[in-house]
Amino acid sequence: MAAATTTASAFKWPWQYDFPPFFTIQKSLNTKDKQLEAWARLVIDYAQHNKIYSLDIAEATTSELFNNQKLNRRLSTDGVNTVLQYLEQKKLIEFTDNGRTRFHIFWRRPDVWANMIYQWAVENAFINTPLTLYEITHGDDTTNESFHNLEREILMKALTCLEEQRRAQLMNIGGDNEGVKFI
Amino acid sequence: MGGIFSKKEKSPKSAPVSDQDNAILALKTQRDKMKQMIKRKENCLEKERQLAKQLIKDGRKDRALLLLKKKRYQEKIIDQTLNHLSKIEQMVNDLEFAEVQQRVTDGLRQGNEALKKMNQLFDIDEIDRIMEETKEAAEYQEEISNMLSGQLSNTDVSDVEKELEDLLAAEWGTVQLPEAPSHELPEAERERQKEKEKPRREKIALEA
Repeated sequence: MAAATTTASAFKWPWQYDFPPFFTIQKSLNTKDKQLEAWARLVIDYAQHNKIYSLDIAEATTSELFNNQKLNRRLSTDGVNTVLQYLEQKKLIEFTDNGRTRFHIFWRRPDVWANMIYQWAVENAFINTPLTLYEITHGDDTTNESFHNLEREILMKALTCLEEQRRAQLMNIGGDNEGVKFI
Repeated sequence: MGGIFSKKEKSPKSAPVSDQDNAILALKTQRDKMKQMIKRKENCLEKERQLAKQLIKDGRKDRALLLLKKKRYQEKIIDQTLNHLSKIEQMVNDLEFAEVQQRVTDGLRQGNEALKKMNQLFDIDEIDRIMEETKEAAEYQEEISNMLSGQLSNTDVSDVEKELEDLLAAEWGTVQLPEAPSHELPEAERERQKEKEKPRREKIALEA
Protein backbone atom coordinates (compact mmCIF):
# COMPACT_ATOMS: atom_id res chain seq x y z
CA MET A 1 0.00 0.00 0.00
CA ALA A 2 2.84 2.34 0.83
CA ALA A 3 4.16 2.08 -2.68
CA ALA A 4 0.76 2.92 -4.02
CA THR A 5 0.39 6.13 -2.04
CA THR A 6 3.47 7.61 -3.65
CA THR A 7 1.68 7.91 -6.98
CA ALA A 8 -1.56 8.94 -5.30
CA SER A 9 -0.61 12.63 -5.48
CA ALA A 10 -1.80 12.66 -9.10
CA PHE A 11 -5.11 11.09 -8.10
CA LYS A 12 -8.09 13.43 -8.42
CA TRP A 13 -10.13 13.16 -5.24
CA PRO A 14 -13.91 13.61 -5.55
CA TRP A 15 -15.56 16.64 -3.94
CA GLN A 16 -17.05 14.41 -1.20
CA TYR A 17 -13.53 13.66 0.10
CA ASP A 18 -13.24 17.29 1.26
CA PHE A 19 -16.73 17.25 2.78
CA PRO A 20 -16.49 16.38 6.53
CA PRO A 21 -19.87 14.56 6.86
CA PHE A 22 -18.64 12.10 4.21
CA PHE A 23 -16.46 10.49 6.91
CA THR A 24 -19.46 9.71 9.13
CA ILE A 25 -21.89 7.01 7.99
CA GLN A 26 -25.27 8.74 7.73
CA LYS A 27 -28.42 7.56 9.50
CA SER A 28 -30.96 8.41 6.77
CA LEU A 29 -31.23 5.38 4.46
CA ASN A 30 -31.52 7.46 1.30
CA THR A 31 -28.47 9.57 2.17
CA LYS A 32 -26.56 6.49 3.36
CA ASP A 33 -27.15 4.74 0.01
CA LYS A 34 -25.78 7.71 -1.91
CA GLN A 35 -22.87 7.99 0.51
CA LEU A 36 -21.94 4.30 0.20
CA GLU A 37 -22.21 4.55 -3.58
CA ALA A 38 -19.78 7.50 -3.51
CA TRP A 39 -17.40 5.58 -1.20
CA ALA A 40 -17.56 2.53 -3.49
CA ARG A 41 -16.71 4.65 -6.52
CA LEU A 42 -13.84 6.30 -4.63
CA VAL A 43 -12.36 2.95 -3.49
CA ILE A 44 -12.56 1.49 -7.01
CA ASP A 45 -11.16 4.61 -8.73
CA TYR A 46 -8.36 4.90 -6.17
CA ALA A 47 -7.43 1.22 -6.59
CA GLN A 48 -7.50 1.51 -10.38
CA HIS A 49 -5.39 4.68 -10.40
CA ASN A 50 -2.76 3.11 -8.15
CA LYS A 51 -3.07 -0.38 -9.66
CA ILE A 52 -3.98 -1.93 -6.31
CA TYR A 53 -5.36 -5.44 -6.70
CA SER A 54 -5.70 -6.43 -3.04
CA LEU A 55 -5.72 -4.68 0.31
CA ASP A 56 -5.36 -5.49 3.97
CA ILE A 57 -8.17 -4.00 6.09
CA ALA A 58 -5.77 -2.70 8.76
CA GLU A 59 -3.60 -1.18 6.04
CA ALA A 60 -6.60 0.35 4.28
CA THR A 61 -8.05 1.90 7.45
CA THR A 62 -4.86 3.87 8.12
CA SER A 63 -4.25 4.79 4.47
CA GLU A 64 -5.12 8.16 2.92
CA LEU A 65 -8.10 6.50 1.25
CA PHE A 66 -10.16 6.51 4.46
CA ASN A 67 -8.10 9.15 6.21
CA ASN A 68 -8.17 12.84 5.21
CA GLN A 69 -5.32 14.49 7.11
CA LYS A 70 -6.14 17.94 5.73
CA LEU A 71 -9.61 17.80 7.32
CA ASN A 72 -8.32 15.73 10.24
CA ARG A 73 -11.16 13.31 9.55
CA ARG A 74 -11.11 9.54 9.14
CA LEU A 75 -13.72 6.88 8.51
CA SER A 76 -14.13 4.69 11.59
CA THR A 77 -13.40 0.95 11.53
CA ASP A 78 -17.16 0.29 11.55
CA GLY A 79 -17.54 2.74 8.69
CA VAL A 80 -14.81 0.98 6.69
CA ASN A 81 -16.53 -2.37 7.32
CA THR A 82 -19.87 -0.92 6.16
CA VAL A 83 -18.24 0.33 2.94
CA LEU A 84 -16.56 -3.04 2.39
CA GLN A 85 -19.83 -4.90 2.97
CA TYR A 86 -21.46 -2.68 0.35
CA LEU A 87 -18.59 -3.37 -2.09
CA GLU A 88 -18.83 -7.11 -1.42
CA GLN A 89 -22.58 -7.01 -2.01
CA LYS A 90 -21.94 -5.31 -5.37
CA LYS A 91 -19.30 -8.00 -6.15
CA LEU A 92 -16.59 -5.35 -6.44
CA ILE A 93 -14.42 -6.94 -3.74
CA GLU A 94 -13.89 -10.47 -2.49
CA PHE A 95 -12.37 -11.49 0.83
CA THR A 96 -9.45 -13.86 0.46
CA ASP A 97 -9.48 -15.38 3.95
CA ASN A 98 -12.00 -16.61 6.50
CA GLY A 99 -10.90 -13.94 8.97
CA ARG A 100 -11.93 -11.31 6.41
CA THR A 101 -8.73 -9.35 6.90
CA ARG A 102 -7.68 -9.15 3.26
CA PHE A 103 -9.65 -8.65 0.06
CA HIS A 104 -9.27 -8.45 -3.71
CA ILE A 105 -10.50 -5.28 -5.39
CA PHE A 106 -12.13 -5.87 -8.75
CA TRP A 107 -11.81 -2.52 -10.49
CA ARG A 108 -12.05 -4.81 -13.49
CA ARG A 109 -14.05 -8.00 -13.14
CA PRO A 110 -12.16 -11.27 -13.77
CA ASP A 111 -14.16 -11.91 -16.97
CA VAL A 112 -13.07 -8.48 -18.29
CA TRP A 113 -9.42 -9.29 -17.49
CA ALA A 114 -9.99 -12.65 -19.20
CA ASN A 115 -11.18 -11.00 -22.42
CA MET A 116 -8.27 -8.55 -22.40
CA ILE A 117 -5.70 -11.31 -21.89
CA TYR A 118 -7.27 -13.48 -24.59
CA GLN A 119 -7.38 -10.53 -27.00
CA TRP A 120 -3.67 -9.92 -26.34
CA ALA A 121 -2.92 -13.62 -26.96
CA VAL A 122 -4.79 -13.52 -30.29
CA GLU A 123 -3.15 -10.28 -31.45
CA ASN A 124 0.33 -11.56 -30.60
CA ALA A 125 -0.20 -15.04 -32.09
CA PHE A 126 0.05 -16.90 -28.78
CA ILE A 127 -2.83 -19.25 -29.59
CA ASN A 128 -1.93 -22.96 -29.21
CA THR A 129 1.36 -22.01 -27.55
CA PRO A 130 2.02 -22.71 -23.88
CA LEU A 131 2.77 -19.57 -21.86
CA THR A 132 4.00 -19.26 -18.30
CA LEU A 133 1.96 -17.19 -15.85
CA TYR A 134 5.04 -15.03 -15.24
CA GLU A 135 5.28 -14.35 -18.98
CA ILE A 136 1.72 -13.00 -19.05
CA THR A 137 2.01 -10.62 -16.10
CA HIS A 138 5.74 -9.80 -16.05
CA GLY A 139 6.98 -10.60 -19.55
CA ASP A 140 8.54 -8.14 -22.00
CA ASP A 141 5.57 -8.60 -24.33
CA THR A 142 3.07 -7.22 -21.81
CA THR A 143 4.86 -4.12 -20.49
CA ASN A 144 2.34 -1.83 -22.23
CA GLU A 145 -0.69 -3.95 -21.31
CA SER A 146 -3.01 -3.01 -18.46
CA PHE A 147 -2.69 -6.52 -16.98
CA HIS A 148 1.09 -6.17 -16.57
CA ASN A 149 1.90 -6.86 -12.88
CA LEU A 150 -1.59 -8.27 -12.35
CA GLU A 151 -1.80 -10.24 -9.08
CA ARG A 152 -1.55 -14.00 -9.44
CA GLU A 153 -4.92 -14.72 -7.77
CA ILE A 154 -6.78 -12.38 -10.11
CA LEU A 155 -4.87 -13.77 -13.09
CA MET A 156 -5.93 -17.27 -12.03
CA LYS A 157 -9.58 -16.17 -11.79
CA ALA A 158 -9.36 -14.68 -15.29
CA LEU A 159 -7.71 -17.79 -16.73
CA THR A 160 -10.29 -20.02 -15.02
CA CYS A 161 -12.98 -17.92 -16.75
CA LEU A 162 -11.28 -18.61 -20.09
CA GLU A 163 -10.99 -22.31 -19.28
CA GLU A 164 -14.73 -22.48 -18.57
CA GLN A 165 -15.36 -20.80 -21.93
CA ARG A 166 -13.02 -23.38 -23.53
CA ARG A 167 -10.69 -20.64 -24.71
CA ALA A 168 -7.76 -21.74 -22.55
CA GLN A 169 -6.28 -24.80 -20.90
CA LEU A 170 -4.45 -24.42 -17.59
CA MET A 171 -1.28 -26.50 -17.27
CA ASN A 172 0.43 -27.93 -14.16
CA ILE A 173 -1.25 -25.49 -11.77
CA GLY A 174 0.35 -25.89 -8.36
CA GLY A 175 3.31 -27.68 -9.91
CA ASP A 176 6.74 -26.45 -10.93
CA ASN A 177 5.89 -25.42 -14.47
CA GLU A 178 2.63 -23.49 -14.19
CA GLY A 179 1.24 -22.24 -17.44
CA VAL A 180 -1.66 -21.84 -19.81
CA LYS A 181 -2.39 -22.72 -23.40
CA PHE A 182 -4.84 -20.45 -25.24
CA ILE A 183 -7.14 -22.23 -27.67
CA MET B 1 -37.84 -41.52 -16.19
CA GLY B 2 -36.87 -37.89 -16.00
CA GLY B 3 -33.26 -38.97 -15.64
CA ILE B 4 -33.23 -40.28 -19.21
CA PHE B 5 -34.29 -37.01 -20.78
CA SER B 6 -32.58 -34.58 -18.41
CA LYS B 7 -29.57 -32.80 -19.87
CA LYS B 8 -26.23 -33.73 -18.44
CA GLU B 9 -23.97 -30.80 -17.78
CA LYS B 10 -21.00 -31.00 -20.06
CA SER B 11 -17.68 -30.58 -18.35
CA PRO B 12 -15.36 -28.22 -20.20
CA LYS B 13 -13.51 -30.27 -22.76
CA SER B 14 -9.81 -29.90 -22.13
CA ALA B 15 -7.58 -29.02 -25.04
CA PRO B 16 -5.04 -31.69 -25.81
CA VAL B 17 -1.81 -30.76 -24.05
CA SER B 18 0.98 -32.66 -25.76
CA ASP B 19 4.37 -33.71 -24.39
CA GLN B 20 5.77 -31.07 -26.69
CA ASP B 21 3.66 -28.42 -24.91
CA ASN B 22 4.94 -29.58 -21.54
CA ALA B 23 8.52 -29.46 -22.83
CA ILE B 24 8.03 -25.91 -24.13
CA LEU B 25 6.44 -24.86 -20.84
CA ALA B 26 9.31 -26.36 -18.83
CA LEU B 27 11.85 -24.48 -20.94
CA LYS B 28 9.89 -21.23 -20.67
CA THR B 29 9.67 -21.63 -16.88
CA GLN B 30 13.45 -22.08 -16.78
CA ARG B 31 13.84 -19.00 -18.96
CA ASP B 32 11.63 -16.95 -16.60
CA LYS B 33 13.65 -18.06 -13.58
CA MET B 34 16.84 -17.01 -15.33
CA LYS B 35 15.36 -13.62 -16.22
CA GLN B 36 14.35 -13.10 -12.59
CA MET B 37 17.83 -14.07 -11.44
CA ILE B 38 19.43 -11.63 -13.89
CA LYS B 39 17.12 -8.84 -12.66
CA ARG B 40 18.05 -9.58 -9.04
CA LYS B 41 21.76 -9.63 -9.80
CA GLU B 42 21.60 -6.40 -11.82
CA ASN B 43 19.83 -4.64 -8.95
CA CYS B 44 22.47 -5.98 -6.58
CA LEU B 45 25.27 -4.76 -8.89
CA GLU B 46 23.82 -1.26 -8.97
CA LYS B 47 23.70 -1.14 -5.16
CA GLU B 48 27.29 -2.43 -4.93
CA ARG B 49 28.47 0.17 -7.44
CA GLN B 50 26.95 2.93 -5.30
CA LEU B 51 28.47 1.39 -2.16
CA ALA B 52 31.93 1.22 -3.80
CA LYS B 53 31.67 4.94 -4.68
CA GLN B 54 30.80 5.71 -1.07
CA LEU B 55 33.71 3.60 0.23
CA ILE B 56 36.15 5.43 -2.07
CA LYS B 57 34.80 8.75 -0.75
CA ASP B 58 35.33 7.49 2.79
CA GLY B 59 38.90 6.50 1.89
CA ARG B 60 38.37 2.75 2.33
CA LYS B 61 39.94 1.74 -0.98
CA ASP B 62 40.78 -1.83 0.07
CA ARG B 63 37.12 -2.50 0.88
CA ALA B 64 36.02 -0.83 -2.37
CA LEU B 65 38.47 -3.01 -4.34
CA LEU B 66 37.06 -6.15 -2.73
CA LEU B 67 33.55 -5.03 -3.61
CA LEU B 68 34.52 -4.32 -7.23
CA LYS B 69 36.10 -7.79 -7.52
CA LYS B 70 32.86 -9.28 -6.27
CA LYS B 71 30.97 -7.11 -8.77
CA ARG B 72 33.16 -8.36 -11.63
CA TYR B 73 32.48 -11.97 -10.61
CA GLN B 74 28.72 -11.28 -10.54
CA GLU B 75 28.94 -9.71 -14.01
CA LYS B 76 30.58 -12.89 -15.32
CA ILE B 77 27.75 -14.95 -13.85
CA ILE B 78 25.21 -12.65 -15.52
CA ASP B 79 26.99 -13.10 -18.87
CA GLN B 80 26.94 -16.88 -18.48
CA THR B 81 23.27 -16.80 -17.54
CA LEU B 82 22.47 -14.65 -20.57
CA ASN B 83 24.30 -17.17 -22.72
CA HIS B 84 22.20 -20.01 -21.29
CA LEU B 85 19.11 -17.88 -21.73
CA SER B 86 19.72 -17.40 -25.45
CA LYS B 87 20.21 -21.17 -25.82
CA ILE B 88 16.94 -21.86 -24.04
CA GLU B 89 15.10 -19.32 -26.20
CA GLN B 90 16.61 -20.90 -29.31
CA MET B 91 15.41 -24.31 -28.11
CA VAL B 92 11.89 -22.94 -27.48
CA ASN B 93 11.83 -21.45 -30.98
CA ASP B 94 13.01 -24.73 -32.51
CA LEU B 95 10.34 -26.69 -30.64
CA GLU B 96 7.59 -24.27 -31.63
CA PHE B 97 8.74 -24.30 -35.26
CA ALA B 98 8.85 -28.11 -35.24
CA GLU B 99 5.26 -28.09 -34.00
CA VAL B 100 4.24 -25.77 -36.84
CA GLN B 101 5.99 -28.04 -39.35
CA GLN B 102 4.22 -31.04 -37.87
CA ARG B 103 0.85 -29.31 -38.25
CA VAL B 104 1.64 -28.38 -41.86
CA THR B 105 2.68 -31.96 -42.63
CA ASP B 106 -0.50 -33.31 -41.02
CA GLY B 107 -2.56 -30.85 -43.04
CA LEU B 108 -0.86 -31.86 -46.28
CA ARG B 109 -1.31 -35.56 -45.48
CA GLN B 110 -5.02 -35.09 -44.78
CA GLY B 111 -5.43 -33.03 -47.93
CA ASN B 112 -3.66 -35.66 -50.00
CA GLU B 113 -5.84 -38.45 -48.62
CA ALA B 114 -8.99 -36.44 -49.29
CA LEU B 115 -7.84 -35.79 -52.86
CA LYS B 116 -7.15 -39.49 -53.41
CA LYS B 117 -10.63 -40.37 -52.16
CA MET B 118 -12.17 -37.78 -54.47
CA ASN B 119 -10.19 -39.09 -57.44
CA GLN B 120 -11.37 -42.63 -56.72
CA LEU B 121 -14.93 -41.42 -57.21
CA PHE B 122 -14.10 -40.31 -60.76
CA ASP B 123 -13.78 -42.84 -63.63
CA ILE B 124 -12.78 -41.42 -67.05
CA ASP B 125 -14.97 -43.87 -69.03
CA GLU B 126 -17.90 -43.13 -66.76
CA ILE B 127 -17.45 -39.37 -67.30
CA ASP B 128 -17.26 -39.91 -71.11
CA ARG B 129 -20.47 -41.93 -71.00
CA ILE B 130 -22.22 -39.26 -68.90
CA MET B 131 -21.08 -36.50 -71.27
CA GLU B 132 -22.31 -38.47 -74.30
CA GLU B 133 -25.67 -39.11 -72.67
CA THR B 134 -25.94 -35.44 -71.76
CA LYS B 135 -25.22 -34.42 -75.36
CA GLU B 136 -27.83 -36.84 -76.71
CA ALA B 137 -30.39 -35.65 -74.20
CA ALA B 138 -29.71 -32.02 -75.14
CA GLU B 139 -30.16 -32.77 -78.85
CA TYR B 140 -33.36 -34.67 -78.18
CA GLN B 141 -34.65 -31.78 -76.09
CA GLU B 142 -33.86 -29.32 -78.89
CA GLU B 143 -35.76 -31.47 -81.38
CA ILE B 144 -38.81 -31.49 -79.12
CA SER B 145 -38.59 -27.71 -78.67
CA ASN B 146 -38.43 -27.23 -82.43
CA MET B 147 -41.50 -29.37 -82.96
CA LEU B 148 -43.46 -27.53 -80.30
CA SER B 149 -42.53 -24.04 -81.51
CA GLY B 150 -43.15 -25.01 -85.15
CA GLN B 151 -39.65 -24.07 -86.16
CA LEU B 152 -38.54 -24.69 -89.77
CA SER B 153 -36.26 -27.53 -90.71
CA ASN B 154 -33.03 -26.97 -92.69
CA THR B 155 -34.73 -27.82 -96.02
CA ASP B 156 -37.58 -25.41 -95.23
CA VAL B 157 -35.08 -22.64 -94.54
CA SER B 158 -33.28 -23.18 -97.87
CA ASP B 159 -36.61 -23.15 -99.74
CA VAL B 160 -37.61 -19.87 -98.10
CA GLU B 161 -34.26 -18.28 -98.95
CA LYS B 162 -34.63 -19.36 -102.62
CA GLU B 163 -38.11 -17.86 -102.77
CA LEU B 164 -36.76 -14.55 -101.42
CA GLU B 165 -34.05 -14.47 -104.09
CA ASP B 166 -36.64 -15.07 -106.84
CA LEU B 167 -38.80 -12.22 -105.57
CA LEU B 168 -35.86 -9.83 -105.48
CA ALA B 169 -34.80 -10.79 -109.02
CA ALA B 170 -38.32 -10.18 -110.32
CA GLU B 171 -38.45 -6.78 -108.58
CA TRP B 172 -35.16 -5.59 -110.10
CA GLY B 173 -36.28 -6.81 -113.52
CA THR B 174 -39.34 -4.47 -113.73
CA VAL B 175 -37.59 -1.24 -112.58
CA GLN B 176 -36.37 0.83 -115.60
CA LEU B 177 -33.42 3.07 -114.74
CA PRO B 178 -32.66 6.11 -117.03
CA GLU B 179 -29.43 6.04 -118.98
CA ALA B 180 -26.62 8.44 -118.10
CA PRO B 181 -26.07 11.33 -120.59
CA SER B 182 -23.14 10.78 -122.95
CA HIS B 183 -22.98 14.29 -124.64
CA GLU B 184 -21.01 17.31 -123.27
CA LEU B 185 -22.69 20.19 -121.37
CA PRO B 186 -23.57 23.34 -123.39
CA GLU B 187 -21.05 26.27 -123.28
CA ALA B 188 -23.33 28.75 -121.50
CA GLU B 189 -24.04 26.30 -118.73
CA ARG B 190 -20.31 25.63 -118.26
CA GLU B 191 -19.66 29.42 -117.85
CA ARG B 192 -22.39 29.73 -115.25
CA GLN B 193 -20.85 26.86 -113.38
CA LYS B 194 -17.45 28.64 -113.28
CA GLU B 195 -19.01 31.88 -111.98
CA LYS B 196 -20.64 29.98 -109.16
CA GLU B 197 -17.36 28.35 -108.08
CA LYS B 198 -15.27 31.63 -108.05
CA PRO B 199 -16.69 33.38 -104.95
CA ARG B 200 -16.60 30.10 -103.03
CA ARG B 201 -12.85 29.81 -103.63
CA GLU B 202 -12.24 33.44 -102.59
CA LYS B 203 -14.25 32.99 -99.45
CA ILE B 204 -12.19 29.98 -98.55
CA ALA B 205 -8.99 31.98 -99.12
CA LEU B 206 -10.23 34.79 -96.84
CA GLU B 207 -11.22 32.48 -94.12
CA ALA B 208 -7.82 30.84 -94.14
